[in-house]
Amino acid sequence: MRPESLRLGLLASAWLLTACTQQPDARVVDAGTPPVDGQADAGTPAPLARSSRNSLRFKGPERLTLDFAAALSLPPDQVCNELGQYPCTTFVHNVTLGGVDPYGNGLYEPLPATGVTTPIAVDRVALAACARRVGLDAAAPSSAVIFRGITLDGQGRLASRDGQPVRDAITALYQRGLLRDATETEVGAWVRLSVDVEAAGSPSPGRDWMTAVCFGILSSAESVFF
Amino acid sequence: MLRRLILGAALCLSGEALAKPPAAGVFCDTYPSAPACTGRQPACTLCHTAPPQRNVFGASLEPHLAPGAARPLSDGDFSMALPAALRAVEAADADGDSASNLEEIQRGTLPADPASVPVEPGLCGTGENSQYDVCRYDPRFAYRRVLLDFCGMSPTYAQVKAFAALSEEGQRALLDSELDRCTTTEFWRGKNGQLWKLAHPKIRPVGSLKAGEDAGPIPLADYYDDYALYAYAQLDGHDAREVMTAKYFVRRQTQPTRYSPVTSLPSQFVEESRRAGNLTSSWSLISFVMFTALPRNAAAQSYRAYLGLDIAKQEGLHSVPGEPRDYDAKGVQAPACAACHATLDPLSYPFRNYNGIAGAASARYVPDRLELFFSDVAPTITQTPEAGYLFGQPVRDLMEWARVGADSDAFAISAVTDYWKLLVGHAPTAEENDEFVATWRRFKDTHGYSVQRMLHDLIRTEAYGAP
Repeated sequence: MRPESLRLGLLASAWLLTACTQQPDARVVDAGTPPVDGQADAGTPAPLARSSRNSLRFKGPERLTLDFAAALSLPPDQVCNELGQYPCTTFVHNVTLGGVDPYGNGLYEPLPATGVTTPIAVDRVALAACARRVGLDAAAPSSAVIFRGITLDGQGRLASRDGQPVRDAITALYQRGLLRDATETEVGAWVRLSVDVEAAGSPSPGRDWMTAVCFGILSSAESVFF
Repeated sequence: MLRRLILGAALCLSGEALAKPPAAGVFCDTYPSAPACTGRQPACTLCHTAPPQRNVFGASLEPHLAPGAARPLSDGDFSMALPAALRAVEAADADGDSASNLEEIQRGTLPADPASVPVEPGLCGTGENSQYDVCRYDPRFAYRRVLLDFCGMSPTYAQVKAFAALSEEGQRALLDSELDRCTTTEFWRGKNGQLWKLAHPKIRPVGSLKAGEDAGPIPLADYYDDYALYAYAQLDGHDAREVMTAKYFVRRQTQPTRYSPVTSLPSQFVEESRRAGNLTSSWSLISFVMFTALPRNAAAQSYRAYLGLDIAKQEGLHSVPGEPRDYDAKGVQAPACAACHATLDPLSYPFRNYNGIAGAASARYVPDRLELFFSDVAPTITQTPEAGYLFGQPVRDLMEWARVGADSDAFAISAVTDYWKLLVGHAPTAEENDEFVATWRRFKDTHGYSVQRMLHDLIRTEAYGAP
């Protein structure tokens, strides 16, 4: 297994463990998760007026690609490629993400509903894009786009999880990915996520936190629906 | 009043002179304001699973249809009895979805389908929402949607802030200018862009049969010509009807994508006087006519693709008296077949001289085609006329077929429905019907069939811009 794969595996484990905890704040991090059965999200600080129309639409392969690319300042063809060469959104997972395949398979219209593997494909694309952005920012800190000025300690952890660079990164992700500012509650939840990542035994917890916060925001319902 | 006079006159005529089946017309005379009757007629599936089998609503009507009269009822007796039968079951709830039949008819849902039920418009909930006004049209929501729908990507954070700071008038103006800008992008008009996606189910490409650019192993015809004409007709204020009526072809140039009309293309073979837009393109003839004598598939696909009426779903049935004649001896006069073929066969006659796959004569208009190539199909095949019927109205040939179709409400409804589904995310619901009807009527009557101008209306609807 390649180190990158191992890292992603550990990250996914940490993410799952985090999601399984009962901390109320952990539920706030999916900024776009709608209330269930009319009940406000446990972590939502105040009742949010709900849309009465339920007219949300899934972005689909092209819009996801362009929005992720814009949010992370990546060329669209570098957002996600399976095996490094097959585009995730416009080729490998195209139909899963709501695309069509008219010429080869006679699929002239998108499937009427998203499938059981659609969230997996969204996660795959978001994770790939975020891993690439984190890799680029880490490799060239002086020209970092999102994670600028974040220092790591000797164990690869965030040197100052309450520092301004961490807040700036979260703010940048919200503004670029969700087109709004993060609330204090949301910022706090993301900062505390670094503790969970460190506790999961990641060999590079700081970098994995960067990927996780990016992934969490870009793969949220608020990000992938419009 | 005029409708009643027409109905009365029709009922006084003999059964031979009445359109068959008359049920949809009588239904709309009984409920003229029903959404299913606004510019169209309900499909047979309102009362039938497949004619003559009735669904639960149709079955509930049957005992009230001229009780005691001998069966089968003549068309005249049926038409006289249907309004009273409909009224007799208005208060009932045939599908058990807790909405009465009358309420379902008036609100545009299906009285035989428990999954189709009137939905109460959402009420404004309590709570705060700093991002959107979730109770009504919110220009901020529409702005984000316009950029995603037409440009393919969200605005930036700075653009969202700048938009929010504009006056209401400024926001409206920016929405319009962004719509116009984005419809010039590759995402909207380019190869495999949004317009091409709308065209896929109409053109029904098959990669293995593609000729020209991106040719397949059996290159029979170049359907990119069809996409080019479709896209051209949708763009820049052009008349959308020309997708059915154009005497010209369209050449596509790239980087950036441009579409321009031309009088000939090396991949197209029908002479100008016999052209009817994409109905007579090489691909349509190769793919939908293929080897058949009477091109029913070409007619049905044209009806479905450009007029939104799917005969296989019992939509748009306007039976012609005396039809089907069954010139090709396929047995379509059997009662189970005739219900649809009384519409489909006369719809197909104008295609009789358009060749599909036939060597050097492929994809061409060939006078006396049936006599030359198909005389052994059936004894009466050569009697097939070129004149036919569309919407029960006689048409001389395919050019008139296309003109009548393109000028119909059905064309406008179908074209706007395509965009409604693309941009709102679903076919118009009963709750959206008023806005939908206003949009297609303005597309037809005010905007001269310009899709570009219609889109400016569409992005102003509550259906589009209310979160």
